Amino acid sequence: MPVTVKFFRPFRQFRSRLLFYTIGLLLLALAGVVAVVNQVFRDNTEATIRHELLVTERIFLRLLSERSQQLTQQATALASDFAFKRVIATQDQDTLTSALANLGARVQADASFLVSIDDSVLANSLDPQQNGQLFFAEELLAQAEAEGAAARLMLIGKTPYQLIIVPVLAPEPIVWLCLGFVIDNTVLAQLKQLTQVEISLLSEQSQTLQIQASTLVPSPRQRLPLFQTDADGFFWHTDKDLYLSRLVVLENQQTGKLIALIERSWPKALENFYRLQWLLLMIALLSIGLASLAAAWLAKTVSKPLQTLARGAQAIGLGNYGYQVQIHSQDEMGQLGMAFNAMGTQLLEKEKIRTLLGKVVSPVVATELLSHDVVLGGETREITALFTDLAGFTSIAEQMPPQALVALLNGYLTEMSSQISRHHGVLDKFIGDAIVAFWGAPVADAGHAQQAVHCALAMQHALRDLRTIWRQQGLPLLSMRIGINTGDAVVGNIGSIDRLDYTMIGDTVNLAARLEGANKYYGSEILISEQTYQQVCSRFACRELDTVRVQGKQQHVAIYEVIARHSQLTPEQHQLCLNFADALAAFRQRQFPQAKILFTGLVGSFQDKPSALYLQRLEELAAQEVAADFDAVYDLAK
Amino acid sequence: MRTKAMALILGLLLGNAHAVTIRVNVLDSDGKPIGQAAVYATPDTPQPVARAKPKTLVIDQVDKEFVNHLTIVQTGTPVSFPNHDKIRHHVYSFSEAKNFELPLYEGTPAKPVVFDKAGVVTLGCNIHDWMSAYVLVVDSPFFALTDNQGAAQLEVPAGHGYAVSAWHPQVKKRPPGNAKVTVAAGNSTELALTLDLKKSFRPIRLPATANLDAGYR
Repeated sequence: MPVTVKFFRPFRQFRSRLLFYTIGLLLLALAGVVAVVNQVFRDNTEATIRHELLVTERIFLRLLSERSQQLTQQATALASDFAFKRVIATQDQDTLTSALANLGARVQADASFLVSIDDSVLANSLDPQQNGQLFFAEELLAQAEAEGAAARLMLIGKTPYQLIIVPVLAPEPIVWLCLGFVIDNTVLAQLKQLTQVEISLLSEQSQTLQIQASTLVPSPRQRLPLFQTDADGFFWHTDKDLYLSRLVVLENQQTGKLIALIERSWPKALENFYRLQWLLLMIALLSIGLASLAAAWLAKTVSKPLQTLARGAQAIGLGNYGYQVQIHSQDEMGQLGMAFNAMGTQLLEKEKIRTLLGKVVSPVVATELLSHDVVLGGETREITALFTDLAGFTSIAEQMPPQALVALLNGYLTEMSSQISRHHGVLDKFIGDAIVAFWGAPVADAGHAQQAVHCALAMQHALRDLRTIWRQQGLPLLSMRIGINTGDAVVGNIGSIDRLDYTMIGDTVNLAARLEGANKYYGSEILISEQTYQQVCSRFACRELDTVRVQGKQQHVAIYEVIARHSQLTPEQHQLCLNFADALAAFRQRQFPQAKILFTGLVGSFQDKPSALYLQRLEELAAQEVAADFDAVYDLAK
Repeated sequence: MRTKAMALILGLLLGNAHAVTIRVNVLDSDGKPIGQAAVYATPDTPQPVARAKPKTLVIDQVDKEFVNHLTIVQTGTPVSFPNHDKIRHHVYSFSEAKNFELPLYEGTPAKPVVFDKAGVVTLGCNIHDWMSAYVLVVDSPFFALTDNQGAAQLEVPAGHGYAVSAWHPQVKKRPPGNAKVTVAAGNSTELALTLDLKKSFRPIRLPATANLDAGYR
């Protein structure tokens, strides 16, 4: 058995299968959609973040630069303080330091320096030791000299500062005022508010990255590889989160690099997507639910009429052709139902014809006729023909009222035809009270002669039962004569194209009819020809009654009376048969006196009617001279 | 004209009729002439000079600017700062050569400021950041300003050695250096001095159309 069949065995019901496939396909489609949406969304989100980081980088740099400008303006305003210029002119160190601290406090600077025109530190707020030494940011001074002011991110010691240098003008630069603003978490938090990204400030000194300030809480331990600093954006894990990040080199100086790490939380960026995923899940569940309902409904609309049709087909299989299925839908199912009902109607009609045909003709013939195209024509077959007649019916028919007569006849014919059917004979026709039947056609039957004889005995037996009824009803007791002959005859559909009989014609048939009539002459009930006898003698006890000349035939034909089945033969019947055979032999050997004694004895013992006939023949022979060629053959009486 | 006249007077005072002209061309590092540069010659051997009481010079304030921008004076010269504007000015200098203030005043201050120490004095106005002027105080009566071609002439008595220097407010090294020693024999001498100038760096007045008299650019 193929594997697939095994696999689908659990789904015996159409409904289950439909559900399985519908939901399966739906799940596949949904899975595909989710996968694609997932990928596209992630890709888009990543691309968007990368782009946003790029934009943010610019904004970040711009903000830094604006902050520089703002601080520069503040410093410039401070530097124009005339009193401060006077203090500078005094060149008093302590006053200078104090005034510088006061100045720095005005703008909340974290560090302040006063640098002479020749670049040496005059005063500062961080380390008095530096006073008199060369200012550490000479490049910045040079820039300030060239551009009027300068600003830069710088590490002082290990702290990142935003340094601003402006000249104190009187009106020529007399000293440089340098203010430092620490870049700490607070500053970055302000930048974060504007840019909506996490910002960390890193310094790179001697190949190690140091986090100086960060908006990430808590500050991540550093795990940033150096080589990615100019990457287009990269993922990295802090202790708890995944970030898409970008490194921006703010300052690249000999003393070290200052790098900004701007980044966006990946899970936060995907929050929208998770919301979408929930929505997708809801839609998926809803559509699966709806699809299930739809599939169930569809399965019902398909399987219910199918079940109805299956019941209909079963009913028709059982012969209930009148069964009509009730499918009211307008679709293909409805058409199928209508076709099914039409088929049932057709079958019913055909069955009616078949039944009627079985009544009109023999069921065997009806079956034969229905199974082939009906054509006129016949064939020569060996058959056994049977003729019956009711003795004296014509005379009683004149005395009885027609209804009673028909009732009597119908009862008789019904019983007889049922016997013929029972013995698989073909009822050819009724001719008044006569019945014509045959065996051996249309269905070939090797035991046709035996069947016919058996049937004849059964018919006589049935008649005895009928006579019991008739006696009780006060009806005349009728007896039946039966003639049987076996031989070739033409059988077939004979008649016109509109009206035909399946019947037989030929000498065999004629002889059977003659034998039926001859019963009257011999006083017998069942006469069979020698040909029939040959085929039935093994099973039925018969006695030869005579040898006759048949009109139109050269051969003489022995005729026999059927007594009984061998098994049912009584001793008296057996004795009768033996004695009659002796008597007949004596008669044929012209030992007439002997024959007369024997026949007389038979008549005396058995009231044997044939023996009486022979006694009459002996008297006729005694009355005249016996011809030299006496062969004991008589013409078959008509 | 004034300088020439002074030189002439000095020459006459010295009783030396032989005055020699030193032609000085002041160029920048690109070889372009620098106008309005100060040029002065200091004699190698200090000469006893019978000096008259120095005449008071004037640096005006007109329309919120100093006039002139660069003034050369011999040590000991008093300079007056008359204010011709309707508003007050606050002239000051924190220079080593002369640290002074003329707090908000109108008209001409009562006393002129005497520049008694050689050096550069940078002048400013406390209430007008863009206002600036320079006074070059030299220990010599021989000085001149270059014209637009960067040329100046110094009439000095012959037979002396002079250190000829040039200075400009935008010169890079602050204590005015850039000196060259030249011995003048009998004839006129011509020499070139090179100054490295830096970008002018000071608050600059906004255009008048802005109708604002203060600001930076």
